[in-house]
Amino acid sequence: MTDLDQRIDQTLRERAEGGVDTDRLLAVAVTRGRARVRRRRTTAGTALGVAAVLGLGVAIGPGRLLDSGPDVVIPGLGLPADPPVSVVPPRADGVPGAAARPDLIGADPQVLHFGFAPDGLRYLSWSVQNGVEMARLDVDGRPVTLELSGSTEALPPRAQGLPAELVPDLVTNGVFDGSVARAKGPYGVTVWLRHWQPAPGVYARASAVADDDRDLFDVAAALRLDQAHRCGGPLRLTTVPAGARVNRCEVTVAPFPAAFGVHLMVSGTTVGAVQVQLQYARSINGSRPEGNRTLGGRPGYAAPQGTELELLGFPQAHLTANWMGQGYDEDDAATVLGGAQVAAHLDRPATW
Amino acid sequence: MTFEEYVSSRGPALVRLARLLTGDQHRAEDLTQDVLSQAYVQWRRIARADRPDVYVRRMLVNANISWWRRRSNRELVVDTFAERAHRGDLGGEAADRDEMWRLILGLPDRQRAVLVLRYYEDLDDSTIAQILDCSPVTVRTHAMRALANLRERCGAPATNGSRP
Repeated sequence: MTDLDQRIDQTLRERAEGGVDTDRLLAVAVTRGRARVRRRRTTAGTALGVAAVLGLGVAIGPGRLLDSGPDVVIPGLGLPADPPVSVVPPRADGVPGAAARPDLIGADPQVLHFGFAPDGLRYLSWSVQNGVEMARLDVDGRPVTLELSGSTEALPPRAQGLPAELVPDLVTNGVFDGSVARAKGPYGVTVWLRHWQPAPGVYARASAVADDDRDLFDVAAALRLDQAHRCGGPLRLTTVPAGARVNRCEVTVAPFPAAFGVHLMVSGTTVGAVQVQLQYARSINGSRPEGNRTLGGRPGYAAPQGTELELLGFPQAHLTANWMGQGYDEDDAATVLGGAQVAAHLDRPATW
Repeated sequence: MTFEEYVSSRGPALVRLARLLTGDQHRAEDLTQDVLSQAYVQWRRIARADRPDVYVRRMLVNANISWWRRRSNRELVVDTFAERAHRGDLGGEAADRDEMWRLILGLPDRQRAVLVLRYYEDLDDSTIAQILDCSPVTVRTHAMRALANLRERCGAPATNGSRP
């Protein structure tokens, strides 16, 4: 790989980074999709009505009008029908919290060094990447993002979930004095941002799109720095390729109990990475009947396109590893999946 | 695979791809949502495809190109990025990547798409050709032109080591 190749590669990876609100993406896609279906039905009905008025011969098979075309379907679950259930990342026993060891914040992407008071806020997602530990929370129906870091440098250029262009206007470098800033965001919304130090050496930022700044203070009041949690939730990776480590962890639990997702990225000094995803959904019924690989003594399946392995045997879930970039291949993905430990009851987060 | 499963597992990757194709965080999410809403309507057919992800990524690339064609305002956005590159107090490597990003954004749509699919998604030329609905030879031509363009503008030596 030439210097130019490396510069392109690094630039693209840097620019693609940032959290993605999967549940919002799904909700909006389904809402817009359903609107498209309705429009198509209306259009089809109108066209047939016009044809009837004009006396044209139109042959319609049973149910054809209702179906309005071979591709129009209402897929699977839609949005979760059951009320969302609160999921908390499992405790990491014996690991100090951020208050005791601020130097550990963000150092191990498999650990969150904070938690929240019980029976309060509901997690939507959490992550550890680039030295920042993050939780997105539901506060009375409004999402609030909390980010923690052990240094001031890690936070200012990255405000996950916020429009990138707003951050420089809201952030005063190095000042974590509890002050609140606000700015007008896209579509007329107001974005609130608060920087503070909840403990010596711990730098926090909370952000929200809301009418006022109350949610920021609610999250700060519920924050606990005397505990640690496992970021991967029900998934633990016990083996990685030589020279590699887990360097990113993202978990989305907002749609639970209908679904949740775990995303871990394993990489080392080379440019590429192995991406591991555990995708649970109640709508998943059945799995591949047979594997074509053995991964750590368990059946696995190598996809025909040659960039993905799946570890089989998890009801209502898929555990896959994709390899990308130079330096990683199927053997590395097999190493990662071979040592993957998955909780027995994915539908019972208390057992993770 | 249901639509929900697909979005839950591949949605983040699609948004990241869209960020690179569009160069704009907001439009990336909007574009992805729009494409996924189209995919929702056709999901039965897409899910039957051998590689649904290729199909959806093709929709994403095409939607981005159509957006540009409708507005023909790429110069405006490139100018915005050019201005931003000088605004911050960036360190050496960060400034270098900022400059590279500005140059990548300035490439024609298909050249940029080839670079993104090749370097970020690490796809082979035949898969990129499927996504862009062209031949692998055309993919290589786009890649060569894009790399030559970048080399010329950023002063990189014209070695033969780059991926052809």
